[in-house]
Amino acid sequence: MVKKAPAAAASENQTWKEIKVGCILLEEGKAKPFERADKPALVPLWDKQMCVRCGLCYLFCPDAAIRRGADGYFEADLDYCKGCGICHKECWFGAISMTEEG
Amino acid sequence: MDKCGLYAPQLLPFKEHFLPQAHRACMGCGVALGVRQAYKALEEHRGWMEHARWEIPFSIPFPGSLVKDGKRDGDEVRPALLAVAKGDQSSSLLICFDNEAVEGKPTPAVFKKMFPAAAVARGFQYVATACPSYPVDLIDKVRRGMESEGNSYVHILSPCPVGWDYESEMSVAIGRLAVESLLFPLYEVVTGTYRLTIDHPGKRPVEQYLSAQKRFKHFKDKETREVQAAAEKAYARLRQGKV
Repeated sequence: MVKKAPAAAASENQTWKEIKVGCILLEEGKAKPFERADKPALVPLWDKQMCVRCGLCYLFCPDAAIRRGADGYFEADLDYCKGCGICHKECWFGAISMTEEG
Repeated sequence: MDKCGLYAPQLLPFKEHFLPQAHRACMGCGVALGVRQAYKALEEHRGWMEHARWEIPFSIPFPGSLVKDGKRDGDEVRPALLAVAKGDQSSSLLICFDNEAVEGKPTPAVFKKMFPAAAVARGFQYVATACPSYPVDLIDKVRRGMESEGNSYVHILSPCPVGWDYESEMSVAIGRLAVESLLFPLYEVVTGTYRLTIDHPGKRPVEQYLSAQKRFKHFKDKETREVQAAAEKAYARLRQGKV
């Protein structure tokens, strides 16, 4: 940690050259501390009687939020699901329905 | 996916190299889907595409930044080639994610396929077009591009729910419509020889693709007919192995 100079002294010595340019990321990995970006309005829910465990929903998820469970069925990681609905649209058997998170 | 069985996703590696917490794409992003599927082929070579993780803006040349100055064919790809492939002897893989965003006005893909053609003209050994709606095809092409000895180039059409103005759940379906309506044919070029990887005999009218997106809502019958004719003409030439 660099000790900050007193505010009065800083304002006297600082010129416009010391001000950092805006909108520039100085370090990478800014999104990692956040567990989820926002709460999705609709989340996918699997009907296990209709699901055949083909894995199409897993393959078409843009956020890599769908994981394969121990029993072979797939489930969404709600920390990263954004609720886009691609899995619901692409499921051949209509096993996925978009429901309100409850 | 047409040639593969229903359980084809089980054959692909389940290990994720594309971390969900490391990108900030919109929901239903086609670029994120393409990057994630390409990661399945790149695997350990993730350093190549590290900048596509939305930590920093794209340093991979985006179509928008390329189309800006060059007007002739070949000029558009040149900055990309200078940046990525320095010299003809190098062996590098350039993946272009095309979401057709910065072009001034909405243009169907058939009117601007100068990128793969210019890459072929520049002597790339392996050039291919792919779409995230056909994941096995995409992963196979990226893998073949990585294994080829010379330079290789993969052009990926990435649907964009915000820019193209459609519901986010249609992202994969839109890409499939673009391929099935012959607007974005999937082909690969191995040392100058064209070959269609997925050939759709039954033509889907381009009207379905155009009407599914609100960015083409100003298209009337005349424009739709022009696009249909251009698509069929380009596809017929491509079938004979010409551009």
